[in-house]
Amino acid sequence: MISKSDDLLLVSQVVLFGSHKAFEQLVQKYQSPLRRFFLNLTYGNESLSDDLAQETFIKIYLHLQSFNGTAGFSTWLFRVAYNVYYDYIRSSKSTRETDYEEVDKHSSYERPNVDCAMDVYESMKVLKLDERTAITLFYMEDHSVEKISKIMNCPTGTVKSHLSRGREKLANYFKGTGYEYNFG
Amino acid sequence: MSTISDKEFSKLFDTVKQREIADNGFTRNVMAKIPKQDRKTHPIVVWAFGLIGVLIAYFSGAIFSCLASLACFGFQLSHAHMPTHTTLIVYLLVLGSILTMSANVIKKSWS
Repeated sequence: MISKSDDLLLVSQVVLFGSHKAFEQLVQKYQSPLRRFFLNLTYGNESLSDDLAQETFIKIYLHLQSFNGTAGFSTWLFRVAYNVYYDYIRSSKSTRETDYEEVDKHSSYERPNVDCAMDVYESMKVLKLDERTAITLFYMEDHSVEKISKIMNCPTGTVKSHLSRGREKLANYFKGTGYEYNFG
Repeated sequence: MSTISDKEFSKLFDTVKQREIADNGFTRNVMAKIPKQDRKTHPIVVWAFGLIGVLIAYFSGAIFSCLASLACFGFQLSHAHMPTHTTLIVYLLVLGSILTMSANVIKKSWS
């Protein structure tokens, strides 16, 4: 497992010596959380989330000199990822954020409970981008509100509002669909 | 109004939470798309700053002090009896460290 100080060491090796080996280690470490983040934002569209993750890593590589180390590398990585997704939404000519029909076709990752995962992805459609991002980072990636505020570049109060509104919408969604979930 | 608690939400998201996604060639694809020529200037920059350092040492006289110290050490060595084991070990250790560090810097600047 690579620690946070190792992240900085790897980043400095990439910046100073252009070490591809060091960058490869960073990609290996963060590919899973980043692809999972995009998977949640794109309602489980695997090919789209992989494309966005790839674009994020390439951007990270090209702009690594601008990483000043004040926030952790993972915070910076998710911030770039959030911007990549935001740009994707803006550039998308379609009014829908993703092609929902693609979701079912491409969902082939091995997961312990496919039905439950798809229900969660489906429920995310009722949320706005900012609410979905906050909910994803908070509940699925276990990031703190402070870290999310740095990623989304907004005050912590705004993040709390996104979380609160997102929770409310999801609760209404699950009640409205008569979805029975064993909260035990 | 929401009736689902924070804990219940966490439980709900457990199905997709922190699930490890297998690499399946993703890293290889990313590395293949990274521009190769982007950082070719870096070894030149490293060597340029190295040269600047040598020039500063030359003009500030530090390089002469260093050479004088080495000459003094050599002189003492030639007029002395066999140095003690401790002196020899310390000298070799310092020399070894300098050579290893230099080799690492050169290796990394060309990798």
